[in-house]
Amino acid sequence: MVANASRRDLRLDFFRGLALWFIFIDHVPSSRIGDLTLRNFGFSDATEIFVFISGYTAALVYGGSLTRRGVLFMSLEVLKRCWQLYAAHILVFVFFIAQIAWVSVRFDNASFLEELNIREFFENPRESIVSALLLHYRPANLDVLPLYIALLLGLAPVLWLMRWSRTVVLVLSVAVWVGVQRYHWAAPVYQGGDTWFFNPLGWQLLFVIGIQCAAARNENPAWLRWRPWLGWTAAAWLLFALFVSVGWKIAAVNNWIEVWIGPWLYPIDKSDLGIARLLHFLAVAYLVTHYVSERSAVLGWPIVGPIVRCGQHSLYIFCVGISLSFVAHFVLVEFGRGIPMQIAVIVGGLALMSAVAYQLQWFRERSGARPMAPASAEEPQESR
Amino acid sequence: MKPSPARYREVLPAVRQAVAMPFSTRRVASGCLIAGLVARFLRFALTFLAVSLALAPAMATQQSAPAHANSSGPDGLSKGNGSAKHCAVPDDLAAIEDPLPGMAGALRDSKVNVTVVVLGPQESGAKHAVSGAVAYPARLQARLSEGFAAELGDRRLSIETVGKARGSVGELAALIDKQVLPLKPVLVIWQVGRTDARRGNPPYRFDQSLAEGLERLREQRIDTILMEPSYHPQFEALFRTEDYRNHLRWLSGNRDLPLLRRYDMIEHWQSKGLLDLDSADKDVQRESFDIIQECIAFQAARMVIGGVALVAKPVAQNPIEPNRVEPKR
Repeated sequence: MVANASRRDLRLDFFRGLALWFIFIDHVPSSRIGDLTLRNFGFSDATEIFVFISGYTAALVYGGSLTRRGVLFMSLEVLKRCWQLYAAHILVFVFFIAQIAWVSVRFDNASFLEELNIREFFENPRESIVSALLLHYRPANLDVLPLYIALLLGLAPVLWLMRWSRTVVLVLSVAVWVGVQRYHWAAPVYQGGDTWFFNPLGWQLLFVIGIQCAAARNENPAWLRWRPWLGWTAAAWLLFALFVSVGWKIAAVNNWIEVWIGPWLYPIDKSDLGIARLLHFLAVAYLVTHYVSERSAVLGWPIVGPIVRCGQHSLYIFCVGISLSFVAHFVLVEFGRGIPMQIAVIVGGLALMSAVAYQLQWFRERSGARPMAPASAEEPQESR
Repeated sequence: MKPSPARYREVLPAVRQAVAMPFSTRRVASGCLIAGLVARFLRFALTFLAVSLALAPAMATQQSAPAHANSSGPDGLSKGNGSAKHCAVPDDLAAIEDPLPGMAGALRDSKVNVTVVVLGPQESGAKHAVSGAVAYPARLQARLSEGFAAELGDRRLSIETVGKARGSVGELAALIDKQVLPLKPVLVIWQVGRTDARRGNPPYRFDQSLAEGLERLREQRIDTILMEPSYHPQFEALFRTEDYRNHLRWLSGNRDLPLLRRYDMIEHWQSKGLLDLDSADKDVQRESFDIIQECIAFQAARMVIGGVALVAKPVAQNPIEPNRVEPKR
């Protein structure tokens, strides 16, 4: 994963944009197209891509800031970014509440609305709003942003420690992850023992691995170098994961898997970043960064342009994507759920996301606040 | 022109050219990006419109299918006549692989009362859903009494509901000692609700609570059938049950417990047009609800009867006993 920092690595933007596209498609409910996204062919999904690349780019951006301006300035920059993410989360949460309100009103006369159990929020608004602001009440679809906020909050100490010793940081990170796997450590913990769906203590390992890769990007260290035997191991694990994931949909295969593989593989933990998911993602990343080099012809395909643009403005596009998935849900309910409608809704949503991304890029280029090409090796123009 | 992205600045116009706009590329490259954006959006919109028009006949067919649910046939599906024909599900959902030895033993032993407990996120003792419609436990009782009429003889098969409204799996597991075991059930049907999905409870806690409860039931040698959360497209749009359903499948697979795949079954019936869960019409919704209750009762009864049939007859019994009549399916 050697990258020359004076050139922008479009692969980062491309894969982050791709993760955002997958997140949008997965959020459109009951969609057959959702059967084609990454999570159906392996153990990891768009969340892993997102967290890893966010760690990588955060290290690039804030690492440069740390070197040039010191710990305090960098910490304040990180806090400012956390605030922006928090504000974005609250905004998306308001859209979510609006969607719940619409569903409640539309099905208000339903004899089984009680079964849907979604009125709880409106029955106790005061507690609900406070718990929403404290990120205690998080709609399950919107769990990625709070995770990202929590990881960024820990970024400043991690970067500061990295200047002292990278290995120690990695070892500490792995130790915390192992503690989470064995003892189910969790943070934050609210009253009543509630915790988040995505456990930041577990997912921090992937974030730190991203930071380590960014720090080592110019050095071509031994542990990042391409080794064919490691490539074969990664491919074998990917094939195994593909076999198991596809087997979930086929009863005969699934029964065989349950007997022979299930006892040691299951459960595949998403909230604590189980080892199966971690290894699967690392295998994907290892193979992809080897086979999709910076100058790869893949990056010249027409479809790549919109994806790269979406990746460059990831926070905005994430919020737009979540909001559009609500609109998509509305359209599917009102106008039918046939396959053509699903395709139309998803293509329309992706087109709108891309249009917004292009618009944002146009504005950024015209506003002249920052230079487009990186001025120095330590300050690449990275979107966070 | 083949793009050669050596530098960032060269990539963008190269990608634009590769997209091959219908308008002049000179106009786009010269910086008039608004025209380019409008052009792109128009292209997407025209493509989208063309695709929609071309597929409109297919969409019309899909939409007309749910109307069939209103006229649910002369046999009055919602009125308690669910049958294999109407409530059919694909083979992988219909498979019955796990025996119910406790239930089989209780049916054979004429001194034991047969009590089935339904443990789920509804108030204890509730036999009807909030609407007043007949919920599936009552229908299940009727079907099981009919299906096991020969074995039951004079005994009554009773179904009790235990639970807590909107209870999570942990809260339901806590009720096992206090409310389930005193009823001395032979079989417990554990309905997993959607509360854990709604609250975003970490799946490992879901697993832990479930495992504790299942272990408690296993110690008492009580058969258990697990039931997936129910399917409703509006709930799925707001909250994700997929992770919990996966964990439920893995847990039931590891412990060899029967799992009633309620979510997949209801989704299947919705896709077949038997139900219309998107409708805002009160009557259609009530009808869909009734059909779900009826067909779930049918499938649950099938699972219980099938599980009992899978239990081998003990050899110690009279070997020249005439063949038993198979219970009705």
